[in-house]
Amino acid sequence: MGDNAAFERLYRQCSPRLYGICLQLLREGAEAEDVVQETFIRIWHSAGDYHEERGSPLNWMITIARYRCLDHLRRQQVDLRARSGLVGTDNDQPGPLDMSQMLSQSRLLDDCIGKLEERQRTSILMAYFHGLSHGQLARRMGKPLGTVKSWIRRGMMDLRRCIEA
Amino acid sequence: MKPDHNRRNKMLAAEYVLGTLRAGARRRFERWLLESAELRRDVWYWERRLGRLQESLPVMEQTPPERVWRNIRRRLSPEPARRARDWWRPLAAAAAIAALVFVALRFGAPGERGHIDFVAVMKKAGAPEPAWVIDLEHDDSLVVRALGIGRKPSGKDFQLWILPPSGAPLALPVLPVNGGERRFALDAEQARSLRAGRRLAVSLEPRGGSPTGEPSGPVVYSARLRAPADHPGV
Repeated sequence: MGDNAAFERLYRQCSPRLYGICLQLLREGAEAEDVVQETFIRIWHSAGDYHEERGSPLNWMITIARYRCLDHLRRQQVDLRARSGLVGTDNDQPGPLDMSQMLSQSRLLDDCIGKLEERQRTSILMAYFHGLSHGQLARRMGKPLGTVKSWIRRGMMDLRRCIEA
Repeated sequence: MKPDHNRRNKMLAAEYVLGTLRAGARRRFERWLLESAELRRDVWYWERRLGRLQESLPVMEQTPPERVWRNIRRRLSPEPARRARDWWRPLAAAAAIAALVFVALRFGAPGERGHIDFVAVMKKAGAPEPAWVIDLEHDDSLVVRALGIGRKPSGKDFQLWILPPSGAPLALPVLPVNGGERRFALDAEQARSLRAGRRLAVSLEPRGGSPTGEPSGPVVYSARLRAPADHPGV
Protein backbone atom coordinates (compact mmCIF):
# COMPACT_ATOMS: atom_id res chain seq x y z
CA MET A 1 0.00 0.00 0.00
CA GLY A 2 1.48 3.34 -0.99
CA ASP A 3 2.10 5.66 1.89
CA ASN A 4 -0.31 8.28 0.54
CA ALA A 5 -3.15 5.78 0.36
CA ALA A 6 -2.20 4.42 3.78
CA PHE A 7 -2.20 7.90 5.24
CA GLU A 8 -5.63 8.62 3.82
CA ARG A 9 -6.90 5.37 5.29
CA LEU A 10 -5.51 6.41 8.65
CA TYR A 11 -7.26 9.75 8.31
CA ARG A 12 -10.61 8.21 7.36
CA GLN A 13 -10.46 5.74 10.22
CA CYS A 14 -9.12 7.93 13.02
CA SER A 15 -10.15 11.49 12.26
CA PRO A 16 -13.72 11.10 13.62
CA ARG A 17 -12.33 10.05 16.97
CA LEU A 18 -9.78 12.86 17.06
CA TYR A 19 -12.37 15.40 15.92
CA GLY A 20 -14.75 14.25 18.64
CA ILE A 21 -12.06 14.60 21.27
CA CYS A 22 -11.17 18.09 20.02
CA LEU A 23 -14.83 19.14 20.09
CA GLN A 24 -15.07 18.03 23.71
CA LEU A 25 -12.02 20.08 24.60
CA LEU A 26 -12.52 23.16 22.44
CA ARG A 27 -16.31 23.29 22.11
CA GLU A 28 -15.92 25.06 18.79
CA GLY A 29 -16.01 23.44 15.34
CA ALA A 30 -13.62 25.70 13.42
CA GLU A 31 -10.89 25.39 16.04
CA ALA A 32 -11.40 21.65 16.32
CA GLU A 33 -10.98 21.41 12.52
CA ASP A 34 -7.73 23.36 12.74
CA VAL A 35 -6.40 21.04 15.40
CA VAL A 36 -7.32 17.88 13.46
CA GLN A 37 -5.55 19.33 10.45
CA GLU A 38 -2.43 20.27 12.43
CA THR A 39 -2.47 16.86 14.10
CA PHE A 40 -2.43 14.87 10.88
CA ILE A 41 0.26 17.07 9.41
CA ARG A 42 2.30 16.48 12.53
CA ILE A 43 1.63 12.73 12.28
CA TRP A 44 2.82 12.72 8.68
CA HIS A 45 6.08 14.43 9.56
CA SER A 46 6.72 12.66 12.86
CA ALA A 47 5.48 9.13 12.29
CA GLY A 48 9.02 7.96 12.96
CA ASP A 49 8.80 9.39 16.48
CA TYR A 50 6.13 6.90 17.44
CA HIS A 51 7.36 4.05 19.64
CA GLU A 52 5.58 1.67 21.94
CA GLU A 53 6.42 3.58 25.12
CA ARG A 54 3.90 6.15 23.90
CA GLY A 55 1.11 3.55 24.10
CA SER A 56 -0.86 2.39 21.08
CA PRO A 57 -0.51 4.35 17.82
CA LEU A 58 -4.01 5.75 18.24
CA ASN A 59 -3.15 6.80 21.76
CA TRP A 60 -0.08 8.61 20.43
CA MET A 61 -2.20 10.40 17.85
CA ILE A 62 -4.76 11.36 20.48
CA THR A 63 -1.97 12.74 22.66
CA ILE A 64 -0.78 14.98 19.83
CA ALA A 65 -4.32 16.23 19.31
CA ARG A 66 -4.92 16.82 23.02
CA TYR A 67 -1.76 18.83 23.51
CA ARG A 68 -2.63 21.01 20.54
CA CYS A 69 -6.11 21.53 21.96
CA LEU A 70 -4.65 22.54 25.30
CA ASP A 71 -2.46 25.08 23.49
CA HIS A 72 -5.57 26.42 21.74
CA LEU A 73 -7.44 26.63 25.04
CA ARG A 74 -4.74 28.87 26.41
CA ARG A 75 -5.14 31.12 23.38
CA GLN A 76 -8.93 31.10 23.81
CA GLN A 77 -8.55 32.18 27.42
CA VAL A 78 -6.08 34.92 26.57
CA ASP A 79 -8.32 36.25 23.80
CA LEU A 80 -11.37 36.30 26.04
CA ARG A 81 -9.53 38.19 28.75
CA ALA A 82 -8.10 40.67 26.26
CA ARG A 83 -11.45 41.29 24.60
CA SER A 84 -13.86 41.46 27.47
CA GLY A 85 -11.98 41.57 30.73
CA LEU A 86 -13.88 38.43 31.75
CA VAL A 87 -12.24 35.18 32.76
CA GLY A 88 -13.53 31.68 32.29
CA THR A 89 -16.82 31.99 30.47
CA ASP A 90 -17.91 29.36 27.91
CA ASN A 91 -15.19 26.89 28.75
CA ASP A 92 -16.76 26.25 32.14
CA GLN A 93 -19.70 24.51 30.56
CA PRO A 94 -19.63 20.78 29.87
CA GLY A 95 -19.07 19.68 26.31
CA PRO A 96 -21.10 17.57 23.92
CA LEU A 97 -20.39 14.36 25.83
CA ASP A 98 -22.98 14.39 28.54
CA MET A 99 -21.13 15.02 31.77
CA SER A 100 -23.47 13.14 34.08
CA GLN A 101 -23.50 10.14 31.75
CA MET A 102 -19.73 10.06 31.70
CA LEU A 103 -19.41 10.41 35.45
CA SER A 104 -22.06 7.81 36.26
CA GLN A 105 -20.41 5.33 33.95
CA SER A 106 -17.02 6.07 35.46
CA ARG A 107 -18.17 4.55 38.77
CA LEU A 108 -18.64 1.24 37.01
CA LEU A 109 -15.04 1.06 35.90
CA ASP A 110 -13.28 -1.77 37.61
CA ASP A 111 -9.83 -0.39 37.07
CA CYS A 112 -7.98 2.15 39.12
CA ILE A 113 -9.99 5.15 37.97
CA GLY A 114 -13.14 3.56 39.34
CA LYS A 115 -11.47 3.09 42.72
CA LEU A 116 -10.70 6.77 43.25
CA GLU A 117 -12.74 8.90 45.63
CA GLU A 118 -15.60 10.46 43.70
CA ARG A 119 -14.42 14.07 43.90
CA GLN A 120 -10.90 13.10 42.82
CA ARG A 121 -12.27 11.04 39.96
CA THR A 122 -14.67 13.77 38.87
CA SER A 123 -12.02 16.47 38.82
CA ILE A 124 -9.52 14.28 36.96
CA LEU A 125 -12.08 13.22 34.33
CA MET A 126 -13.36 16.73 33.82
CA ALA A 127 -9.81 18.00 33.43
CA TYR A 128 -8.90 15.22 31.02
CA PHE A 129 -11.97 15.17 28.79
CA HIS A 130 -13.08 18.77 28.95
CA GLY A 131 -9.77 20.52 29.39
CA LEU A 132 -10.86 22.39 32.49
CA SER A 133 -8.09 24.22 34.29
CA HIS A 134 -7.71 24.22 38.07
CA GLY A 135 -9.49 27.58 38.20
CA GLN A 136 -12.39 26.42 36.04
CA LEU A 137 -12.76 23.22 38.06
CA ALA A 138 -12.80 25.22 41.27
CA ARG A 139 -15.58 27.45 39.91
CA ARG A 140 -17.62 24.52 38.60
CA MET A 141 -17.35 22.52 41.79
CA GLY A 142 -17.73 25.52 44.04
CA LYS A 143 -14.56 24.80 45.98
CA PRO A 144 -11.35 26.73 46.71
CA LEU A 145 -8.55 26.51 44.17
CA GLY A 146 -6.19 24.84 46.63
CA THR A 147 -8.75 22.14 47.43
CA VAL A 148 -9.25 21.22 43.78
CA LYS A 149 -5.50 21.19 43.14
CA SER A 150 -4.99 18.77 45.98
CA TRP A 151 -7.84 16.51 44.75
CA ILE A 152 -6.11 16.26 41.41
CA ARG A 153 -2.69 15.65 42.90
CA ARG A 154 -3.85 13.08 45.42
CA GLY A 155 -6.01 11.48 42.78
CA MET A 156 -3.08 11.08 40.40
CA MET A 157 -0.88 9.73 43.20
CA ASP A 158 -3.56 7.22 44.23
CA LEU A 159 -3.97 6.29 40.59
CA ARG A 160 -0.29 5.60 40.24
CA ARG A 161 -0.17 3.58 43.45
CA CYS A 162 -3.10 1.49 42.30
CA ILE A 163 -1.63 0.92 38.86
CA GLU A 164 1.69 -0.20 40.31
CA ALA A 165 0.22 -2.35 43.06
CA MET B 1 18.34 13.98 41.72
CA LYS B 2 16.91 14.26 45.23
CA PRO B 3 13.97 11.94 45.99
CA ASP B 4 11.52 14.77 46.53
CA HIS B 5 12.49 16.31 43.18
CA ASN B 6 11.75 12.98 41.61
CA ARG B 7 8.25 12.90 43.10
CA ARG B 8 7.63 16.49 42.13
CA ASN B 9 8.73 15.77 38.56
CA LYS B 10 6.41 12.80 38.31
CA MET B 11 3.53 14.94 39.54
CA LEU B 12 4.36 17.66 37.03
CA ALA B 13 4.46 15.02 34.31
CA ALA B 14 1.04 13.76 35.43
CA GLU B 15 -0.43 17.25 35.33
CA TYR B 16 1.19 17.95 31.98
CA VAL B 17 -0.45 14.93 30.39
CA LEU B 18 -3.74 15.45 32.21
CA GLY B 19 -3.79 19.05 31.02
CA THR B 20 -3.98 20.95 34.28
CA LEU B 21 -0.44 22.24 33.88
CA ARG B 22 -1.00 25.43 31.89
CA ALA B 23 0.40 28.68 30.61
CA GLY B 24 3.94 29.60 31.66
CA ALA B 25 4.44 26.49 33.74
CA ARG B 26 3.47 24.33 30.75
CA ARG B 27 5.90 26.15 28.46
CA ARG B 28 8.72 25.77 30.98
CA PHE B 29 7.94 22.09 31.39
CA GLU B 30 8.04 21.58 27.61
CA ARG B 31 11.48 23.18 27.40
CA TRP B 32 12.64 20.96 30.22
CA LEU B 33 11.28 17.90 28.39
CA LEU B 34 13.64 18.61 25.53
CA GLU B 35 16.58 18.27 27.92
CA SER B 36 15.64 15.40 30.20
CA ALA B 37 15.18 11.85 28.98
CA GLU B 38 13.97 10.77 32.40
CA LEU B 39 11.28 13.42 32.42
CA ARG B 40 10.20 12.32 28.94
CA ARG B 41 9.77 8.80 30.26
CA ASP B 42 7.70 10.13 33.16
CA VAL B 43 5.45 11.82 30.60
CA TRP B 44 5.19 8.69 28.46
CA TYR B 45 4.15 6.73 31.55
CA TRP B 46 1.14 9.00 32.02
CA GLU B 47 0.39 9.13 28.31
CA ARG B 48 0.09 5.34 28.32
CA ARG B 49 -1.98 5.17 31.51
CA LEU B 50 -4.31 8.07 30.85
CA GLY B 51 -4.70 6.90 27.28
CA ARG B 52 -6.63 3.94 28.66
CA LEU B 53 -9.33 6.36 29.76
CA GLN B 54 -10.17 6.74 26.10
CA GLU B 55 -10.99 3.06 25.86
CA SER B 56 -13.03 2.82 29.02
CA LEU B 57 -15.54 5.62 28.63
CA PRO B 58 -18.01 6.41 25.83
CA VAL B 59 -16.37 8.54 23.19
CA MET B 60 -18.04 10.90 20.83
CA GLU B 61 -16.99 10.46 17.24
CA GLN B 62 -17.84 12.90 14.53
CA THR B 63 -16.64 12.98 10.95
CA PRO B 64 -14.92 16.28 10.25
CA PRO B 65 -15.87 18.29 7.16
CA GLU B 66 -14.09 17.19 3.98
CA ARG B 67 -12.25 20.50 3.75
CA VAL B 68 -10.03 19.31 6.62
CA TRP B 69 -8.70 16.48 4.47
CA ARG B 70 -8.34 18.73 1.44
CA ASN B 71 -6.31 21.19 3.51
CA ILE B 72 -4.09 18.41 4.82
CA ARG B 73 -3.47 17.14 1.29
CA ARG B 74 -2.66 20.60 0.08
CA ARG B 75 -0.22 21.30 2.89
CA LEU B 76 1.55 18.00 2.36
CA SER B 77 1.99 18.04 -1.42
CA PRO B 78 5.70 17.74 -2.06
CA GLU B 79 7.65 20.63 -3.52
CA PRO B 80 9.67 19.50 -6.54
CA ALA B 81 12.84 21.42 -5.56
CA ARG B 82 12.97 19.85 -2.11
CA ARG B 83 12.44 16.37 -3.51
CA ALA B 84 15.51 16.62 -5.71
CA ARG B 85 17.80 17.56 -2.86
CA ASP B 86 16.50 15.34 -0.03
CA TRP B 87 15.44 12.27 -1.95
CA TRP B 88 16.00 10.00 1.04
CA ARG B 89 13.68 11.85 3.35
CA PRO B 90 10.41 10.98 1.63
CA LEU B 91 11.48 7.33 1.66
CA ALA B 92 12.15 7.30 5.37
CA ALA B 93 8.95 9.20 6.08
CA ALA B 94 6.98 6.87 3.83
CA ALA B 95 8.31 3.85 5.69
CA ALA B 96 7.40 5.40 9.03
CA ILE B 97 3.90 6.24 7.85
CA ALA B 98 3.36 2.78 6.43
CA ALA B 99 4.53 1.18 9.67
CA LEU B 100 2.36 3.46 11.78
CA VAL B 101 -0.74 2.88 9.68
CA PHE B 102 -0.15 -0.83 9.70
CA VAL B 103 -0.13 -1.06 13.47
CA ALA B 104 -2.80 1.56 13.98
CA LEU B 105 -5.49 -0.07 11.89
CA ARG B 106 -5.11 -3.67 12.87
CA PHE B 107 -7.61 -4.44 15.56
CA GLY B 108 -11.29 -4.87 14.81
CA ALA B 109 -13.87 -4.36 17.52
CA PRO B 110 -14.75 -7.36 19.70
CA GLY B 111 -17.34 -9.54 18.03
CA GLU B 112 -16.49 -8.32 14.56
CA ARG B 113 -15.30 -10.85 12.10
CA GLY B 114 -11.53 -10.62 12.20
CA HIS B 115 -11.42 -9.64 15.84
CA ILE B 116 -7.96 -10.44 17.10
CA ASP B 117 -7.76 -12.57 20.21
CA PHE B 118 -3.99 -12.83 20.54
CA VAL B 119 -0.84 -11.49 18.99
CA ALA B 120 2.65 -12.97 18.77
CA VAL B 121 5.60 -10.81 17.84
CA MET B 122 8.64 -12.51 16.34
CA LYS B 123 11.49 -10.17 17.08
CA LYS B 124 15.15 -10.42 17.92
CA ALA B 125 16.28 -8.28 20.86
CA GLY B 126 17.75 -5.06 19.55
CA ALA B 127 16.15 -5.37 16.12
CA PRO B 128 14.47 -2.15 15.00
CA GLU B 129 11.22 -3.88 14.22
CA PRO B 130 9.64 -7.31 14.42
CA ALA B 131 10.35 -9.87 11.71
CA TRP B 132 6.74 -11.07 11.74
CA VAL B 133 3.58 -10.19 13.60
CA ILE B 134 1.10 -13.02 13.93
CA ASP B 135 -2.53 -12.60 14.90
CA LEU B 136 -4.82 -15.33 16.13
CA GLU B 137 -8.31 -14.22 15.25
CA HIS B 138 -11.51 -15.13 16.95
CA ASP B 139 -12.49 -17.55 14.20
CA ASP B 140 -9.17 -19.47 14.56
CA SER B 141 -7.58 -17.83 11.54
CA LEU B 142 -3.89 -17.11 11.80
CA VAL B 143 -2.75 -13.99 9.99
CA VAL B 144 0.95 -13.52 9.44
CA ARG B 145 2.48 -10.26 8.30
CA ALA B 146 6.13 -9.96 7.38
CA LEU B 147 7.54 -6.64 8.56
CA GLY B 148 11.25 -6.62 9.21
CA ILE B 149 12.23 -9.79 7.41
CA GLY B 150 13.47 -8.87 3.97
CA ARG B 151 14.35 -12.06 2.16
CA LYS B 152 14.92 -15.70 2.89
CA PRO B 153 18.29 -17.39 2.51
CA SER B 154 18.74 -19.06 -0.85
CA GLY B 155 17.06 -22.47 -1.02
CA LYS B 156 15.43 -22.05 2.36
CA ASP B 157 12.08 -21.21 3.87
CA PHE B 158 10.98 -20.02 7.30
CA GLN B 159 8.41 -22.39 8.74
CA LEU B 160 5.97 -21.71 11.56
CA TRP B 161 5.26 -24.19 14.32
CA ILE B 162 2.82 -24.44 17.20
CA LEU B 163 4.52 -25.46 20.45
CA PRO B 164 1.83 -27.38 22.32
CA PRO B 165 1.76 -27.70 26.12
CA SER B 166 3.26 -31.16 25.64
CA GLY B 167 4.40 -33.25 22.73
CA ALA B 168 5.97 -32.46 19.39
CA PRO B 169 5.63 -29.16 17.55
CA LEU B 170 2.73 -28.96 15.11
CA ALA B 171 3.65 -27.87 11.60
CA LEU B 172 2.12 -24.78 10.05
CA PRO B 173 2.80 -23.32 6.61
CA VAL B 174 5.95 -21.50 5.58
CA LEU B 175 6.05 -17.79 6.24
CA PRO B 176 5.92 -14.87 3.83
CA VAL B 177 8.80 -12.44 3.67
CA ASN B 178 9.39 -8.97 2.32
CA GLY B 179 6.16 -7.32 3.39
CA GLY B 180 3.97 -10.25 2.44
CA GLU B 181 0.92 -11.36 4.30
CA ARG B 182 -0.68 -14.75 4.61
CA ARG B 183 -3.83 -15.99 6.28
CA PHE B 184 -4.68 -19.58 7.03
CA ALA B 185 -7.32 -21.38 9.01
CA LEU B 186 -6.29 -23.59 11.90
CA ASP B 187 -7.98 -26.93 12.27
CA ALA B 188 -9.59 -27.85 15.56
CA GLU B 189 -6.53 -29.61 17.00
CA GLN B 190 -4.16 -26.82 16.00
CA ALA B 191 -6.45 -24.16 17.43
CA ARG B 192 -6.93 -26.03 20.69
CA SER B 193 -3.20 -26.62 21.03
CA LEU B 194 -2.26 -23.03 20.26
CA ARG B 195 -4.82 -21.53 22.60
CA ALA B 196 -3.66 -23.87 25.37
CA GLY B 197 0.10 -23.48 24.95
CA ARG B 198 0.17 -19.95 23.49
CA ARG B 199 3.58 -20.46 21.91
CA LEU B 200 4.84 -20.31 18.36
CA ALA B 201 8.28 -20.85 16.86
CA VAL B 202 9.98 -20.33 13.51
CA SER B 203 12.62 -22.66 12.12
CA LEU B 204 14.83 -22.39 9.05
CA GLU B 205 14.00 -25.24 6.70
CA PRO B 206 14.68 -26.35 3.15
CA ARG B 207 12.53 -24.68 0.48
CA GLY B 208 8.96 -25.85 0.93
CA GLY B 209 9.30 -26.65 4.64
CA SER B 210 10.59 -29.49 6.73
CA PRO B 211 10.53 -32.84 4.93
CA THR B 212 10.15 -34.75 8.20
CA GLY B 213 7.01 -33.23 9.76
CA GLU B 214 9.11 -31.92 12.64
CA PRO B 215 11.59 -29.05 12.71
CA SER B 216 14.73 -30.16 10.86
CA GLY B 217 16.59 -26.87 10.97
CA PRO B 218 17.48 -24.36 13.68
CA VAL B 219 14.76 -22.52 15.58
CA VAL B 220 15.39 -18.86 14.78
CA TYR B 221 12.47 -17.14 16.50
CA SER B 222 9.94 -17.97 19.14
CA ALA B 223 7.23 -15.96 20.81
CA ARG B 224 4.30 -16.15 23.18
CA LEU B 225 0.81 -15.17 22.19
CA ARG B 226 -0.40 -12.26 24.24
CA ALA B 227 -3.52 -10.13 24.38
CA PRO B 228 -3.38 -7.25 21.88
CA ALA B 229 -3.35 -4.71 24.69
CA ASP B 230 -0.10 -6.20 25.94
CA HIS B 231 1.61 -5.27 22.69
CA PRO B 232 1.02 -1.49 22.75
CA GLY B 233 3.21 -0.75 19.77
CA VAL B 234 2.01 -3.61 17.65
